Amino acid sequence: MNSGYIYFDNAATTYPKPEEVKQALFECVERYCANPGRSTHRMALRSSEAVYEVRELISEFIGCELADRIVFETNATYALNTAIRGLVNHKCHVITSDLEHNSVLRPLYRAQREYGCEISSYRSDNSIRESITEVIRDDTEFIVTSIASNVTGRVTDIESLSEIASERGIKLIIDASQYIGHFSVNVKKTPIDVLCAPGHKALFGIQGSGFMYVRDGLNFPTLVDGGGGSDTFNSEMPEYLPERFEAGTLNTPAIVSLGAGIKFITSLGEENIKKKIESLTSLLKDVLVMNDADIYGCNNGIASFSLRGISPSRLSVMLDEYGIATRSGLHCAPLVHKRLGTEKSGLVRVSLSIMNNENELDRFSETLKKIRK
Amino acid sequence: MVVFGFESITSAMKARKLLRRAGISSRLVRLDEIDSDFGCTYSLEISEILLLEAVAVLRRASVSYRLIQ
Repeated sequence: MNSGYIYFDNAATTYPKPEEVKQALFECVERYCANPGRSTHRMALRSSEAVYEVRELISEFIGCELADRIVFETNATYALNTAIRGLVNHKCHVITSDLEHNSVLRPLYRAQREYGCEISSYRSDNSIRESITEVIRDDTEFIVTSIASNVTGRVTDIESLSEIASERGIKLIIDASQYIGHFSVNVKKTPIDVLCAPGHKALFGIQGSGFMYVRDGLNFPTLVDGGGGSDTFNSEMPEYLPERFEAGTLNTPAIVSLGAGIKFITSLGEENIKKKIESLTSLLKDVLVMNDADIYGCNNGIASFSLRGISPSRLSVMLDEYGIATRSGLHCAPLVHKRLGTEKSGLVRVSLSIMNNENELDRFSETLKKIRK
Repeated sequence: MVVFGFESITSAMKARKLLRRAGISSRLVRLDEIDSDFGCTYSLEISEILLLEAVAVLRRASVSYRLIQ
């Protein structure tokens, strides 16, 4: 992109990627990108080793002791579909939230249509215990929820959610899309049954990277069947993970980039990332307040807002003309826009990453001033 | 040399890492023949004198394997 262009669409995918990620990606494609887990020539083995190293890296990163519980997926949507369609495959009661993205909602609505599943949404603006208590039932089998909204940035208390699920024997499927990378997830301290995460957001991998963690002992039907390089005479996918859920050739360059992204954020340190995101979010809020914006949410590096007299879609186009990337519309999150009363117009979303800085927010502020004149 | 067969590449990679940590070097090899149970098999070749030690390492970590030769 041209120098000087400001990228504030990091909740969709982060940009720019760190140099370490680009280097690892280039090296993989240039030097050893054969098919992992198929052949045994030296390039294939190097590729397999690289994939396994990232599997181990992710397992350490999320506090999971077994690398084979990490399944590579192409993004969080595929991971969520694998988990939801694999587990919510019979008539049952499911709890979700009013903040969900369609990657959670649509697979759940499918389960509702196909199996008669009943879905209850908890209100995300109360304490999690109170909200869940309002909708929980004796026959609740699953809680499927994101832990940070892609519209308001609001972060859910994952510890309480995990406690409630454990107390009631409910399976917990988590969408960590807007959370992981800004906050740590530790499945040992905070038990989760299935964790779904994209690699291309705050973990700084490239598009096409993502993963699903499945707790030890849990297994379910596959979404996709095909070759996996092992158990060849079995007419079904093997029972063991991760190969059970990894039919077809893995996206080795994307996986390698995800590994480099995780190393990058680990080197920065969780506390430093948290501090920077908090500081940028606070500054972003000040900018929006100074510019008389109607703010619908401003947390965790994400703000959704509108300016009176300008439609959000027009505003986003104008910002792009001034060299600032934002996202307007409904952000694939219908329930939250209905709750906010913005389902007709949508909102403009600014989403930050640790690669953004204060100067960019100053320029954003000046641009809003110009637009409002 | 003895050869351990594993059900998948992930399993073989995990075993190799565990063995390496225990000071046992191994070599990932392709078998001449297809294993009748596993199909295509990933195998680790190790020195015969380290067999018992290697078995202990793999059993401790609950890694499934087959002794192929």
